[in-house]
Amino acid sequence: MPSLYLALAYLRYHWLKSLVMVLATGLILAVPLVTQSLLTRSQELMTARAQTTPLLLGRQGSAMDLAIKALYFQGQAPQPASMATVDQLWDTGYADIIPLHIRYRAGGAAVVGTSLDYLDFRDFQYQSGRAFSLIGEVVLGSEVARKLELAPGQSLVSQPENLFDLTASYPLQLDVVGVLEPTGSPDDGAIFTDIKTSWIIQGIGHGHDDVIAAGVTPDGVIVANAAQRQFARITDENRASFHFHGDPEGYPVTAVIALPYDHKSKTILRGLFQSPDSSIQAIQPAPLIGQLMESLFRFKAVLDAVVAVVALAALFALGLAVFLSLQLRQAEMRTNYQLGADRWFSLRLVSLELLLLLTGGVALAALAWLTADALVGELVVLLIAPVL
Amino acid sequence: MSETASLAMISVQDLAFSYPKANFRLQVPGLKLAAREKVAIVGPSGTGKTTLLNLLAGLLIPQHGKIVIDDSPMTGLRDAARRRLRRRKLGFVFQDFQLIPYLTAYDNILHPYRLDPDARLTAEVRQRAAALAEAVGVSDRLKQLPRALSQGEKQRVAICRALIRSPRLLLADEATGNLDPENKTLILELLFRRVEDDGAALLAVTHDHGLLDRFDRVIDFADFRHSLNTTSEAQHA
Repeated sequence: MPSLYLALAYLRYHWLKSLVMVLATGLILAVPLVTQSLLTRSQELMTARAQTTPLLLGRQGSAMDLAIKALYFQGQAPQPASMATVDQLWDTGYADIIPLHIRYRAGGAAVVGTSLDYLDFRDFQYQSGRAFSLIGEVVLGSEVARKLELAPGQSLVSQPENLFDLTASYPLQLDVVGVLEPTGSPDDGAIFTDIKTSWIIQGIGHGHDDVIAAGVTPDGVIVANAAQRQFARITDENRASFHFHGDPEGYPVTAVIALPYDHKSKTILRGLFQSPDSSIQAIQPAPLIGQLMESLFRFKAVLDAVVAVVALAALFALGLAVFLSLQLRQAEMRTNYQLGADRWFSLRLVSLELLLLLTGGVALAALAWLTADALVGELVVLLIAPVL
Repeated sequence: MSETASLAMISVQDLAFSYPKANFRLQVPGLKLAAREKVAIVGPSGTGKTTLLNLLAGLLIPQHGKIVIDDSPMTGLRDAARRRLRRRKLGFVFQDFQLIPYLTAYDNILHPYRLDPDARLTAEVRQRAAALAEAVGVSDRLKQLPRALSQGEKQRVAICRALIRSPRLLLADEATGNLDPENKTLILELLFRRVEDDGAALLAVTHDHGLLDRFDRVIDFADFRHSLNTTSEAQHA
């Protein structure tokens, strides 16, 4: 097809202009496609997560903060509830109860202190290793293991909340005993451990050398050695020395997942915590996350309008570029006419050139869309996490 | 001119043309060119030399008269038919070469084939293009874009383009105007040789009086002294 050959030759000769036009067209098309894909996928991910969690309980406060922290391990930690709430919920006999303590991080990932029931509830499969069974042991989400290049048998260290607070918790070395299969959910980016381990990270529990009396005061008070060593890693040798102080009912939990046995149980449980005087709130995550997604889609509608205006401006700019290009090609068109080109030759040639540029733009947009679609899980986490 | 130039290849009869709103009128009572005939047109600027070429090429429509090129009437045709006739029977060599800037020298030579939806770019055509380039001495420059060619090379490529479809009438408008004396002679010799070989006719507008004795006839638009040969007439009013 001679016109195609000539169109390609023209575009190749003006390669920089062609490249800019392809990129501009590609961007105009890609932005709405990619945002739509990301929002749709993030809606699916977030909604699915919320829908699989029937009831969530925590301290009175922002329901959204509670849901975001308990479901996606992101955002501000709400004021903690206590283990007394967990015990109270167990005692009702309406649901299985899973405590969550999400306050600390290790290797940049959230450390989720919980019970083995959580691993069963999310139906985790193991890439390697096994579930945690002793304090100090952790199971890594697939993304954490990939990014930190960790495997069972290796370890990582918890991050203190505040580096400059000497009275705060100190880093605890955590032993990796398992790595989860990817789930396409926030679990991929988290570290799971027994809730007792997370309390040890917080400093509620600790292990140290046996107290050896340094002396006895005249009034008979035993004085301990100030050089007593506190353990930063839980080993078989020192595990027995770890203990907790204070009332176990007062130990903190960020949230509690309740898995009611039936609809009636769920209704009763919600009713139990609906009193305005209750220090505990019970929320259904699905409608709450639904509201959040509605807000995101309202934001997308605004974004679409902005993109449409920018696209229109870009199209005008492209149209101007084409018009100016045609002005500069008058001599070429005249030559073709003098050599006997048919009436529609120039129109056909320019149309083909535009079609090729548009095809390039569409291909670029499709590539961006496919790439975004393939990486949507990671992108959603990257894009949504800061928002949350 | 060779002996075979007896039959009229180009015939113009009673031609009259004027531009709208312009005090200019071109009249050509009669003009005939035979195969292998090489005719020069001279005269000051604005006397209608290029206008005559454009009329012969069907780029302008005369108000009166008849033009026949190789038995095909150019006058009275619709635009599409005139374009077709131009593609198939005419070759153009322009003063400023008018090469397509984004095509290589080789593709510029083949360009007339790409403009014709009925023509096929066969291996034979490509061989002919290569042979023409060889004949005019640009065979080693075929992959170059026009910007990389010298003036002389550009004109040689333009001549190849004009000759690639073996035209019956070759129109040259100041074809040697931009060239140095050495290249002028060379290009003219090339044109003459191809016209002889292809049995075409050449009508060339030129300001270069030093080359006129190489033509078979000279038509002077300045003083209506039309020709060294009496077989044609041109009158400019």
